[in-house]
Amino acid sequence: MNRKRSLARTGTAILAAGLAAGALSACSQNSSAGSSQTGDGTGTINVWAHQGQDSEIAVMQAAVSSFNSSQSKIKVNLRLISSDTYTSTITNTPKDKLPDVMEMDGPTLASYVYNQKLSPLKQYVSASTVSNATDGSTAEGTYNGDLYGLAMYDSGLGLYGNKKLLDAAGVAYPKSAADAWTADQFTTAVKALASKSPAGKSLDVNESSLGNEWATYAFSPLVESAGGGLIKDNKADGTLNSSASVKALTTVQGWKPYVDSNADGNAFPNGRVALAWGGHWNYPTYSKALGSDLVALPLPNFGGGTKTDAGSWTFGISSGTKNGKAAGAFLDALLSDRNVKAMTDANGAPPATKSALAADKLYQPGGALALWGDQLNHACPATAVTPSCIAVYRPVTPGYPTITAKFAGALSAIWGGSDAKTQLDNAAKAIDQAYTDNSNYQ
Amino acid sequence: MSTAPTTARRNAQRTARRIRDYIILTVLALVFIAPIYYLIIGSFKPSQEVLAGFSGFLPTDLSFANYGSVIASLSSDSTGYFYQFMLNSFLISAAIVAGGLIVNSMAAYSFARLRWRGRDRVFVVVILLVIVPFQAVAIPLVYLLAGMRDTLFVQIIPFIANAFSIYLFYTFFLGLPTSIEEAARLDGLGPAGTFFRIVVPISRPVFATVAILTFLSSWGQFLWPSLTTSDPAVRPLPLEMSVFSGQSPVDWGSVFAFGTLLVLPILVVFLAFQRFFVQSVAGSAVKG
Repeated sequence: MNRKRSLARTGTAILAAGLAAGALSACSQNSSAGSSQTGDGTGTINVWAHQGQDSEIAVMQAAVSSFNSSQSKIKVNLRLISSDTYTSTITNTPKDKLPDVMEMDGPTLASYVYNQKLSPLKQYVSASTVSNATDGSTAEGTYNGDLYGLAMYDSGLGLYGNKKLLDAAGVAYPKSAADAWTADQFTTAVKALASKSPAGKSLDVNESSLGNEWATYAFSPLVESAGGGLIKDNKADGTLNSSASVKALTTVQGWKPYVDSNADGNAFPNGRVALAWGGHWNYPTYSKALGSDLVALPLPNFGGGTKTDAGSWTFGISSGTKNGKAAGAFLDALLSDRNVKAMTDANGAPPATKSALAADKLYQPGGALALWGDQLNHACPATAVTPSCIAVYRPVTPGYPTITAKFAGALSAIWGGSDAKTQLDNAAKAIDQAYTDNSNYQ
Repeated sequence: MSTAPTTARRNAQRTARRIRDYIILTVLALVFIAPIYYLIIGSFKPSQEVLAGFSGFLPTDLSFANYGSVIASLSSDSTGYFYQFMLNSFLISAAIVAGGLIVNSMAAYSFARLRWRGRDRVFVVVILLVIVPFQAVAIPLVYLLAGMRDTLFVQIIPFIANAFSIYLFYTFFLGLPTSIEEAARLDGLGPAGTFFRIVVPISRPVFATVAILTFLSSWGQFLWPSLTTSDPAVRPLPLEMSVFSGQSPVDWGSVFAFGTLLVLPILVVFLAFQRFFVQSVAGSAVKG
């Protein structure tokens, strides 16, 4: 799947959309709230989804085609919109113009709820569909106690290692989450591997995307692991710029001399570096290039246990639908094992339904990405990040576009050599100002 | 006796200067041509060879596969059709160019030749608008034109009146000899008749320049259609580029093929109006 690019590209879109939504939130809040209608469960409904890879498109089109041909009461019109413009498109579409069912990037869900563009799902989808959703899918789709989104798939994040290069450098690597490198161990490993590399590089961190959503997705887990975080009780000051956060990103900054800029995208598959910060979407390419030399590793443990990020695209029903019953019926069908399996087979993502995840060999014990599957099984509750939990979902808050924009901007500057404390102080101040300006998005 | 060596030395110096100039011009030409050459060659090469360093410039393993992939990826009701996006872009750009030429030239003529109360102040305001970036007014416009969302109309209307185009016309009209217009008026033509029957025919260079510049900017529109359209039936071509650049791993061959298809119409338009464009640029020192 195109999660990496999605993260990179939609970061900009999220920011732009967020600014637009933020600037006009007063307008939205003052307008009459959209109220979905159940309808009679027949007729035509519109569905919007992002245009991912060809294989994903084929699965989505087949799912719609299958649904349309399986019954005669409901006809689904599918519209695919390119990933890079998807978030800005739905953000800037008035709620009465949105489709009955729409896909959205998970972290943006709360902002759509805040802008009254989504309808709670439980009144329309079946109880079995809800209960079959993984905890992560439910956590990502829940805001203010109501479920607004359900996903076909989740995402997996960690380190990829080249076993051959690791062994050649004599670097021992972790076999489980509990065994994750500490920050010092990881830095030592990076240096040791770099010393064996002709170019003196050993790590790919997808450097070109550090100013985008990728920054938050990939590196906020280190801040969480260090005991810091992005926001707590609607306040970033004291959390985002805590000494733990500053120390964590200062450590990240120190890796830069050993990072390959990876302009051609082939640093890891071509063996120029032994380690790559990446996600499940890299697996098809990396496994093809490295075969049995590919190992999936946890992210470094910065003190509070290894942490990773999670979450992906999710589906919701718009507040303007006049046919919620039909929309719910379509979502029930879309989230069936058959469709979820077809989609995750196509994009390599971890399924976001319990039954499909249990049957997915890639993420089950013995599978190549079993370690990352295990990470998702240990999702952190929204209320607290504990040493025993691993997968931390990004904050479900309407202010997320601001949070991720400021965090990414700070990380990008830190990576460029700026002082971490100064950058995180500035980011925290800007985030808190946005919350103040919007009455904490209440 | 001393003139022969002096002439020879001057000839040698002239030749050396010419060689130096040609070297500089050749390097500059290569700098400007290289990206276009790379784009076109890359569009015919397998994706994995496009970014393979200097060999990416070599015309090896060429095929039309990337073009087939681009067309195939945009060939269903749910994704929209390539030809539809291309047609939309043509319609939008043509309407903006046509409308812009009429509206902006008339406005400029009014500022340059007609006398009316407040003319100079209004002109200053119009010129000031040149420095306002479109991004600054995009969001208010989205809501002002919300009722026209998902139409071709909404992608045309905001771009017809253009302060920079008015300025270009204005400077050109100021340079026209007034005697021709005065003669026309003596023959009984009013302001409109003078403009359409006398001024327009002798102003082809500036019309060509404005047409090219307007076409360039409207053909490449991305922000505005991304804010105001979601229906593939009305979306323009540039938005769909992200279908290919937003994938992982990026299919660079398709990106380059799409880029080539996107650039070709611009090249055709430029070549068609090149003579007038160069005339106008040379005459008014306008940066294209």
